[in-house]
Amino acid sequence: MIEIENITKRFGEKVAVDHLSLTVQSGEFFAFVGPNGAGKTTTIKMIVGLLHADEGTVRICGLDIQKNAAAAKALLSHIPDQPYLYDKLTGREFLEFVARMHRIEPAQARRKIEELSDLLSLSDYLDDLAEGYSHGMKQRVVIASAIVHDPKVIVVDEPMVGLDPRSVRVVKDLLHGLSRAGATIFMSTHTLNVAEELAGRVGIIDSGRMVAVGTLDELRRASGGAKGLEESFLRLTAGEE
Amino acid sequence: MTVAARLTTLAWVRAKTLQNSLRVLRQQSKLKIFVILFFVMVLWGGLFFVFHDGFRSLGTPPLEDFSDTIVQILFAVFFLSLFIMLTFSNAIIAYGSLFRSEETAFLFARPFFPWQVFAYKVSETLLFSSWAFLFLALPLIVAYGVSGRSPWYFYPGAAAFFAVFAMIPAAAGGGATLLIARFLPRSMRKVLVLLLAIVAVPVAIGWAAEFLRFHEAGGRYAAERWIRDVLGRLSLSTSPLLPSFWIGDGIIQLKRGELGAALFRFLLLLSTALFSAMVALHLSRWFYRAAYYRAQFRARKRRGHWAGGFYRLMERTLPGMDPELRLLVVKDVKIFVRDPVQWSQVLIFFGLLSIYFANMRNMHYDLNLPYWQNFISVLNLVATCLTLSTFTSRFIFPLLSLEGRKFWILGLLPIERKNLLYSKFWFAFVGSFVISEALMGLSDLILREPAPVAVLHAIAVLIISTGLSALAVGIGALYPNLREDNPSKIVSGFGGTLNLVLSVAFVALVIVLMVVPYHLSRMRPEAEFLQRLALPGMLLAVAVGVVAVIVPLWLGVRAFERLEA
Repeated sequence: MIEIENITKRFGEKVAVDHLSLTVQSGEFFAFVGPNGAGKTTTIKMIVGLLHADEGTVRICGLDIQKNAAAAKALLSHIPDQPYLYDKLTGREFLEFVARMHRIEPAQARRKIEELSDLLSLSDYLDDLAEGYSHGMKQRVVIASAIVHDPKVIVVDEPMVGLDPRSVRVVKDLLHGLSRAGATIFMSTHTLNVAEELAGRVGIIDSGRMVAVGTLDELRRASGGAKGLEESFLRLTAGEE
Repeated sequence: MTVAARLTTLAWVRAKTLQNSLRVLRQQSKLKIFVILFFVMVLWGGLFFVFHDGFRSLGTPPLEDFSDTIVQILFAVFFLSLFIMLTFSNAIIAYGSLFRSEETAFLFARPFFPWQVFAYKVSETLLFSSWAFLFLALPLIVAYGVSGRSPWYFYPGAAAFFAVFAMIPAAAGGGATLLIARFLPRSMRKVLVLLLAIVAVPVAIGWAAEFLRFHEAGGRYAAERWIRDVLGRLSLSTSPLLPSFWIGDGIIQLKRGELGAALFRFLLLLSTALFSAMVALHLSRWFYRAAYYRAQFRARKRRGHWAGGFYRLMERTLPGMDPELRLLVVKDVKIFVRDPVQWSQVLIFFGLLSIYFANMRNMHYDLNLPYWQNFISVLNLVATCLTLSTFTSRFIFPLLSLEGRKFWILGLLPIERKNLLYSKFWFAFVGSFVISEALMGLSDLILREPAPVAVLHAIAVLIISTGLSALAVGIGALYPNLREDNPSKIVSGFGGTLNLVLSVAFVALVIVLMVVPYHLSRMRPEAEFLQRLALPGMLLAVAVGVVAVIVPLWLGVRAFERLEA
């Protein structure tokens, strides 16, 4: 469960996120959409503790991400928009490193890595140095690293970028399955059809403020009877342009 | 678009980039700029006085009659060393710039010929690789000019010599990189680096040995005999066919006011520089595109399991650490070991010292005399610790910044942030301590120092390696640069400069307090006050060491816990 209470983040004069509040329940798949520069990545970085909120709090399963950072991060994982890895480690070494930092027994970690390797088709290159990986390969290793420790909350920033159609299908099924198994998924994306397909609720952020939150039907109504998420999005964010 | 227009466009982009960088610099804290300038002036001032004193002493007996010849040899060796280092430096930087840079990929997708991209990127490489060497050479040349009555045109003339001279290693380094990338099998490149290190070290040792003999000249040789001896041994570096000889000779002629001879040397250099540039450009016409395509293909590198046991042993046995801390240290060790650019530099630095230590007995020092034994012993400690300070400044200080775009990995780990910093500290400390302690042990063994001296040196090295590691990690956390991937650029920033200056000051302070009084008291047993100074000095050095560990780490942890990525 993610509880965001009135968070604000300023960079100098610019207010990147402006008093944003939101609760995402356990097992919920929440999609977070908004125009470029709306504050999506800043919000995500505050949720995962990479940025400090100037005001307000973020709690992961009841734990304050700033005050109980280590405990909250044990329950959390993050898939960033750019999959930067250690070039001089192999994919397997990276996954083992993440698993063991989450105190998973080596034998159990190896089993889990094999499972994920089969699921995400990593086995061909998992023992190569990451410096030789393509963007898509790195993205799949990062996705594997995000779920290797069975997190309760997964925060995802543009997960489909760089993936081939088959991998997109696998990742969508994977995230959906994790959500049904009780994990909270918070996904930021520009791919509105993915949000439509997977999310139970969608939040639209614009200029740092949450302009609408709800199910697809609720968003359609809020936007005056738009036909789909794309039209709802365009109508709800049009006022700022 | 004409060739000239394309080159003008590239020059315009570079000028704009420079203009924007200067604008950003102006927006930075005035105090920061002042502190950087202050340290630069202190460093330049210090070097100037050392060089000036050296040149002045050359004008005194028994060397006064040979001062010109000695300066000629000094310059020949200095510029040849500079030439070799610049060629290496240009080649290493050019590889990243020509084949790995995102800008190069962008330019290749635009209507530029490969040789134009090559010329543009190698010009950039020339500036990056040469500025630090020129920065250090400036006080040498100014000191040389000031030490005599040089005409006004000596200074602009010397600057012109430098500018033209720097083009030759840039073209050589760029051309060599091109040929290596095009023709040398990837599996041979690490072997090449190792071979170059193996060849470079004995050559450097040979030169170092000759210069160390200089100190003995007054006592053991007549000055004339020494000059002849050295000239014979350094015949390669004083060959009139080398550009390094032309620049040295040209600068000497400028000082003497022999304009015609200086101009001849300058034109020799200029024609060679232009010829080198032309050869490099032709190589780029023939090979750059093919080399670029080849470099983009990264062969799959599977890691063998030969080192796996070593890493697993480290994970289990590193003392005084939580399991998570050990994992972080082992991760840093793996990354370091797998990067030949990193370890080859360490190998050259410390390999050079170890060969010098091992060969001390062959260098004709009378090590049975207490004066020489103590003098060389302290000198070795200073050399080891100063080399260590460059190691921590070059490799440890940027460690945290280099996490940069990968910071999300560490930032998401379920551990307290301070532990991440401590893991960097342990990584730095274990590496520094093992290398420097081994070197000092070797030095003490060769010098046949008694056990108390060896113990004193071991404690001094322990204090210094701990303090240097803490300084580099702490200041690295205080002044991180998470947007930069190039360690050279991270190190050359404010934090890196501050770290280097504080590290050198720390080394000097600990050695002066802890070791020097003891050695002086051994050299002059009759001076009782020196013996009385030894113990308080050691205690004070321990206190300085404790402060150097606690303060930077405490400040670093505070800053790192607030760090946003």
